[in-house]
Amino acid sequence: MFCQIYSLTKNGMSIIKRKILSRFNFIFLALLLFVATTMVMFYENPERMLEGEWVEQGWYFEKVENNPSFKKQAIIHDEIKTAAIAHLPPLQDGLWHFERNGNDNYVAHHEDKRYNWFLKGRGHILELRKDDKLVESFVIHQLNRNELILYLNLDLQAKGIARIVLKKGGRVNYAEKI
Amino acid sequence: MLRKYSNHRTIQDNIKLGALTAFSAGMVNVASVIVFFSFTSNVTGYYAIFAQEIAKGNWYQGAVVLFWILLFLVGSMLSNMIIIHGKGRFSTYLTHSIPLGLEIFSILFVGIYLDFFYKDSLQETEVLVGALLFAMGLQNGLTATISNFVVKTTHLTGLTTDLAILISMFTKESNRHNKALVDKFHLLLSIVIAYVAGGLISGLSFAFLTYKTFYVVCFVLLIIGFYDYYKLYIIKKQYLQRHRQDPVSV
Repeated sequence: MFCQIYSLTKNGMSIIKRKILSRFNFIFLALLLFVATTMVMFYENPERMLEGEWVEQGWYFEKVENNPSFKKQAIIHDEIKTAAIAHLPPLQDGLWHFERNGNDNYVAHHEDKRYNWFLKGRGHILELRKDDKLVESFVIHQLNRNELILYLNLDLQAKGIARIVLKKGGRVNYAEKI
Repeated sequence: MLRKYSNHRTIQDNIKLGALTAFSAGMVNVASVIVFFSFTSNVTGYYAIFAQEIAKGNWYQGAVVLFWILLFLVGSMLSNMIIIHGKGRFSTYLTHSIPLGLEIFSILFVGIYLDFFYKDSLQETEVLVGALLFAMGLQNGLTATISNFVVKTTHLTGLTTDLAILISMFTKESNRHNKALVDKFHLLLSIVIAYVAGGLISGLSFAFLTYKTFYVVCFVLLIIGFYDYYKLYIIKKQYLQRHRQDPVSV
């Protein structure tokens, strides 16, 4: 293979045969495009991964601005947490349930089914909407089959970013926990 | 704007082309951030994000970002290929208009899809962002090729560097009288201003027009396309008129 690609010039320097290089560029590009497209189409995407029930493990401070007395990673006070999701009734009991029914994505486990969820960007933004109006958006820091870590900007009693850690689990696990 | 090539272009040609295409790129970029939470007029950041996602083991997200980068690359490559292979076969204006036509088609596709079919799913978002990056690749490839790499309008990193260098160079008296440097400064400044203005207008118009903002971008691009068509039409008309009136001189 290398013998085909490289040829020895008169002065002894090896150069890539340009015609082969030009073809190789196209093949390489087509291959990359094929791999990327196939993965985007068939790999388990974040939407499918997010579906199901997630149990809250804790709320933490990741960053606090203008207040050096706060410790990093400190557990958020319940009062602040309650205020932060006061506008999100479906999430207030610590069980986040993302349901999908055809084209309709809604936050379940709550009588009010008007709350919908959407993923944006490359699957790194989680939007919650009520009646098609944005209610809250989270940055997805980590999402795998077992764990979901979200970032939420806080601007209430304390200024900073809340890190919300959730584990995949159903009602049974949640009942055991409480 | 489109009918002249490389060194035959004047500074006015480049300013007109640069400003209008930068305006449309600014519009597309802001509209896509609002709708998709993703930038679509540059790929610099995506290279870093690609590496970051792979390092974190997020293969799907890595593939998405790679897909976007490749579409920008294919757009730029296609634009250049059309121009260099179309040279001599078709008129310069027609050759330069084809990438612009493809760009309009891509942006129009995004606008129509958003308007009538969009279900807010992640896969749709990824394809539509890809279509916009492809369109921006086409635009950047077109402007860079026909202006001999002088005009690049979809991202401002290199441009900001050039602008900074020129500002520094103008601290010397002799450079302030150098016409080539002054012309370049005017070109870069007009691109920056047009890009920001495009973004601003897109952000404001999105509140009223929502997804129809992409139709406005298509309209701006159509102005670029038809400006030269109009010019050629006028020149041809004047030429024919002159020769009809004075057949002896022919």
